[in-house]
Amino acid sequence: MSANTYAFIALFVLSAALAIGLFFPLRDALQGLLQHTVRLPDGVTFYLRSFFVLLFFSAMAGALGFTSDLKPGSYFMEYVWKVASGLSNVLAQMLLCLGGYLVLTTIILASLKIKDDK
Amino acid sequence: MTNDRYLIVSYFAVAAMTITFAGTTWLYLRGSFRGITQALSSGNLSRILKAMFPVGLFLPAFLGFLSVSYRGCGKSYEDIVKERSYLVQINQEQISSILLWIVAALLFWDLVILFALRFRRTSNQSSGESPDIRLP
Repeated sequence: MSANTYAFIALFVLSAALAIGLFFPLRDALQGLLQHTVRLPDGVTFYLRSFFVLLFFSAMAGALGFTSDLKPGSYFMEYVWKVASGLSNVLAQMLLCLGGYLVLTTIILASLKIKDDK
Repeated sequence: MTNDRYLIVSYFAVAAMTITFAGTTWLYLRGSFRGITQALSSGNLSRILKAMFPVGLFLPAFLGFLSVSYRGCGKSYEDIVKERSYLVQINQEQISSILLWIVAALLFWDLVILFALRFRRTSNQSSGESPDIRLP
């Protein structure tokens, strides 16, 4: 396997870890919020699962959308910079999707909660 | 394996991956989606939503797959198959595009469910029924 392949695998594993590492700390709070607003067990499950798919797929899309084309014999740090550059691509994709989900959660809160607060 | 053969194999492999990604997402969410549609109503809306859900995942996934072109910058077939790295790069772009279109489709379905839930709550309140779970 070439060093480019190793760099790609490292980026792929880091992206997956990032998505999973972001999902688990947020899961309980999001579940509580959804239980309070959606108040339908299947609805809560659907929104939680779609959040996981959203995070995971956006991270994978960011990692796959990046190509490492360093020549053989490049320095170690050049590969590190390449992985870091790919990771910034992953973070940008995840941030975009997180923003979309945040907007969605706000709409859920605004449209389903306000009516019960009246 | 020649580049020409690689192009053929990888193209159909990514097409198969499109079905796999969309299918996995559909199977993962199918149970809870069915539960929501059953809770919404037993009428036509529920049936339409259930039928549209897989369509609304598979079509965007295929759109993502088909939207990536090999013929960037007026490349001829010979130019395309000249370099293996170019073919691999396009395959990566295709998979990335598939995943992003599935994400976009999911956000759309989240919105659809939200509007359906709102519609259900509004109709429950206007008919004087109590909500499914009482608030403390």
